[in-house]
Amino acid sequence: MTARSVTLDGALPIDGLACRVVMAGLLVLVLTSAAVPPATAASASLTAGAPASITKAAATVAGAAGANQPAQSAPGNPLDAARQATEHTQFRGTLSVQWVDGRGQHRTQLDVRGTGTAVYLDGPKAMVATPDERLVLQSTGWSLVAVGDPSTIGLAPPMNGKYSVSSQPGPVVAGRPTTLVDIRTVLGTIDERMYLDDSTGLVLRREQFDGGAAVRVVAFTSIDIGAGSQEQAPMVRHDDRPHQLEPLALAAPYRAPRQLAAGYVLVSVLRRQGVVQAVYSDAVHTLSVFEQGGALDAGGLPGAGEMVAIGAERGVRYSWPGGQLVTWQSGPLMYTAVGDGPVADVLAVAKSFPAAKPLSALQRVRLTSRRLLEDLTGRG
Amino acid sequence: MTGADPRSAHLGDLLSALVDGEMAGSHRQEAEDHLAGCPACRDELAATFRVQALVAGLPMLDPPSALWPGARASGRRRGGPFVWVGAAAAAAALTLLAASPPQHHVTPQMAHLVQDHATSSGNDPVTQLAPAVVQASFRK
Repeated sequence: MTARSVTLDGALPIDGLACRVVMAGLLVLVLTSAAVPPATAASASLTAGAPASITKAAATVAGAAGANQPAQSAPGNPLDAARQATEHTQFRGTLSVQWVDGRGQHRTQLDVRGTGTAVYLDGPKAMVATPDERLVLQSTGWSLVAVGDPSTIGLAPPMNGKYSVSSQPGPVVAGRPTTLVDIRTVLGTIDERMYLDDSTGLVLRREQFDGGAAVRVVAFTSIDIGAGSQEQAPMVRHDDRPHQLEPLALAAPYRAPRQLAAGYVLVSVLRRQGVVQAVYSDAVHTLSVFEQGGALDAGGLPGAGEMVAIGAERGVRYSWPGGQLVTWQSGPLMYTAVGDGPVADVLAVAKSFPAAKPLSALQRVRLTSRRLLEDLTGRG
Repeated sequence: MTGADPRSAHLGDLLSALVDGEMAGSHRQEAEDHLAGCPACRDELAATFRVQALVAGLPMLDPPSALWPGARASGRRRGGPFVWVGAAAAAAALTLLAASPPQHHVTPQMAHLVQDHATSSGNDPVTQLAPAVVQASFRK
């Protein structure tokens, strides 16, 4: 850690011949390693914030990730239609969020409003979603934390690979008539149930199941369609977007397999502050595998977790209001899988992630030279 | 709901980024907030600064003036630039090997990871983001 700081600060106590020799050697090592992740158009244009180039990079990622999958989501994915309806409808309402975990049932309420161009969710961690961006309110102002357009995130696999969808007239929810959409696994187990507003397509109620039991319900308790002002998204104070990487260029020991257990396929690879995030989808649920260098400090983990076996390693599983989190160590990396699917799926994905091997001396040299180059070129 | 206890996770590698001035915006603010409440991370930060100052304070050494003619002659005798490339690679490898950081003990910043995950999904923003807005607590 300190050595890297010294190197980056240019404060190495060498000069003249030695410095030239080392720099020439660095060039040789970098050229021979051939594993420096090339900056995608997204990486290169982050500061410029050009959506078109980010889209182009995402297409590259999707192509690399999905050689054996369709180029687009199957038509009729109700989540796609719901997203578009949310982005373009003006509304104001109160949202109830209920979930079940090992500590019992929980419920809280949030105020939500859609302006037609942005959706505001007020709560302990206020967020704003626009078609292109996700913003989070920090103590110092709004941070841009992600791109929100699915075409820049990556494309989900088709629904019919794992799920079947059926719809029928639904009950009245928050005073509005709905269409009930059931999403079941191919085995017939109910996975999600959505209640879509008949006139706008908004999701008025979404129930998520695990093993046939409802574990999460997000529902409007009241909603006023057409209410609210046409305010724009707030001013961004910090650009904290991750860099988008090409999966095939991901350097050891980091990995992002195209496919994992339970039908999850890779849709995107991101990196933020040295942590690689491989994003997977099974068409309905999203799962992220975070890979971070270092040794898992088991003593520093919160005590609410449950010990689980991840292959030959021991991991710890936690619940959060939106799903599951599993963290474990493998080789030189610490992994954390965060998903909104059933517990069994998240654990299956974690177990199917290939174990990382310890780094050889040569790999350590390559990794350090790569980090140095990335730091120098700003491709963190 | 309350957020995850910031003292339950240490900064680890982020300290290096903080010292290097690589952290900006909200991440820097959050790291500083964590430091304010975490003596262990403050101690490690202080140690990092001490080592950096120690190394930066080492004297610059010039190579002996007699070295260049001898080195040039030696290079010509033993195959010219190829010898230098090999020597440079070896020197750089040793330098990098020595500079590669040891494995730190780190704790996943779970609340951040949950937020990063939730905001990476292209699903319906209301039902997808609402659980992250609630903010996860991983304490008993």
